[in-house]
Amino acid sequence: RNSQLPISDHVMPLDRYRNTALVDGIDVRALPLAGDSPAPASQGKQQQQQQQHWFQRRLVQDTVGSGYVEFGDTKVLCSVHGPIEPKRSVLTDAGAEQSRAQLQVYYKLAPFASHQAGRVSYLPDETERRAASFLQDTLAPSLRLDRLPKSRIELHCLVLEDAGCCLATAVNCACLALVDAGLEMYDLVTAATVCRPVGATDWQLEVGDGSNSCGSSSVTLAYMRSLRQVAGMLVEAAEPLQPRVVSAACRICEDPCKMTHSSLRQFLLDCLPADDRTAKIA
Amino acid sequence: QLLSEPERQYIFDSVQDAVRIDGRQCLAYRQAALRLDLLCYATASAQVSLGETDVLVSVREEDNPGATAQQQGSTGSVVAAAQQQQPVSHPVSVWVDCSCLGSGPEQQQLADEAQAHLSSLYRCLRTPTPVFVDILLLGYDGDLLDAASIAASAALMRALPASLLSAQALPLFATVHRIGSQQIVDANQLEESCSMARVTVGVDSNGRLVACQTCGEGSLQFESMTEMIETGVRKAMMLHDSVAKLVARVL
Repeated sequence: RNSQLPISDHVMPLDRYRNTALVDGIDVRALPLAGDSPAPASQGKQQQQQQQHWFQRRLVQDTVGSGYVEFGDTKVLCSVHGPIEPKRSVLTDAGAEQSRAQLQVYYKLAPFASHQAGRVSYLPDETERRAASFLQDTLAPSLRLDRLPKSRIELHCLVLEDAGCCLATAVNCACLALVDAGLEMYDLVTAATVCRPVGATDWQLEVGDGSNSCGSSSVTLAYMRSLRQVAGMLVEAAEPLQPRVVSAACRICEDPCKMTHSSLRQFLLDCLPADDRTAKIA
Repeated sequence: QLLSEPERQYIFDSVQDAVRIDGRQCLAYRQAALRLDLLCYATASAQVSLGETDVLVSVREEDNPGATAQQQGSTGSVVAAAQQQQPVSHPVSVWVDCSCLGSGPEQQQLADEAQAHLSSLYRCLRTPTPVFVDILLLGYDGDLLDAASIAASAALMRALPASLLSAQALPLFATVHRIGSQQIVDANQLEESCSMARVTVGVDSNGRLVACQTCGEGSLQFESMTEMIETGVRKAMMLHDSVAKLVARVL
């Protein structure tokens, strides 16, 4: 089945060559090879590209909704299944517990995903379980789970390449997948990470270029822009931090979250005319 | 624990009026007991009971780092012997067991979450020999992280040599829940099921944060989050004072 996936034009036309495996109808012979070094004039542009997101949706055919986000070199793919039959446990009764949908998040790094850690095992380890529960706590405030009683929504998040800031990118990707699935949400949830090496004083935005070291503190903030509420916050400290420093770092995260919110919203609006087109054909 | 809607509303409304269902103040902890040195084969052990929440922690230090290397399958060559001479710093390894509560998925999730939080609490702590902290949950009535961190830090203070501890003060958790517009600490299980969001802060004895995370299916405003962090730091400093006095009295 030949589906024309819409390519959004508002981000980095130079980046398209990296996504050819996922998009139909592009001639791979006409593309620059991976070993080509960029011209000196475009070095600054490449840095700017590292700070922009690449969004794509409807990548996985058999799911209700899916999303793919690239941020620098970090690549995350999310797929949503649901609403499906809820898991029944011994403690579940037919009353209050079933009045909202259950959101279940599965988060996994692909075995080849990590630059530093080498090959990652098939079973989720502690970091991945923690990321899954962070994603669940972050997306639940924004989803209208009360509109889908007696059901379950499963979100599978696969990190294809982790070059830094992968938890924030996963939040953005999960939000995109949930919108693609047509689930009602109060607001888009977008996230950003700032990091600071031990002993430094400035917080820098973490981008997907593999430059963050293990020895730096990081603050990840998930923010809902229209509601002006924090959906989730995670601090991983490599050294003891003053509380006001942590609060200041959260405030610094607010602007990148807002910018990601605008670009995600614009991407989704740009996708609308294509949906109308395919609906008429079907 | 299942709560009906009127019960949930009752707890919510009374907390708004700063009255908790067991009559405590909003920012008051339950009566806590700390016992040390219960287990013979552990390097150090501690048990904390915070209301009905009961946590037993055992800290074991591997006596012979060479033995551990042999168990991992390294050969007895000259190179391996030379490597054992170098000082190696190990992170603290934490394991949480909730099997006393049952073996369902909710209990497993509680254990996983507690393990992730406590590992991040002791991330900055490095020891010359491998140290294993095993946390056994004997009873649960809310506020697992605070109780487990008190027990684990008290046991680690007994187990580790003073030279290591003077440079690094052992941190404690304080969890602040938000119900409506009120903040409460040390929530029991019923209050936890009514709470919208919580902030867990890991604070060392100098008042600095070593871990901080929001959890729960609710969202918070920036100002609320900052206030909850400040409350958590204050409460953790109070816990530090109490634990230090208790441990000094035992010694």
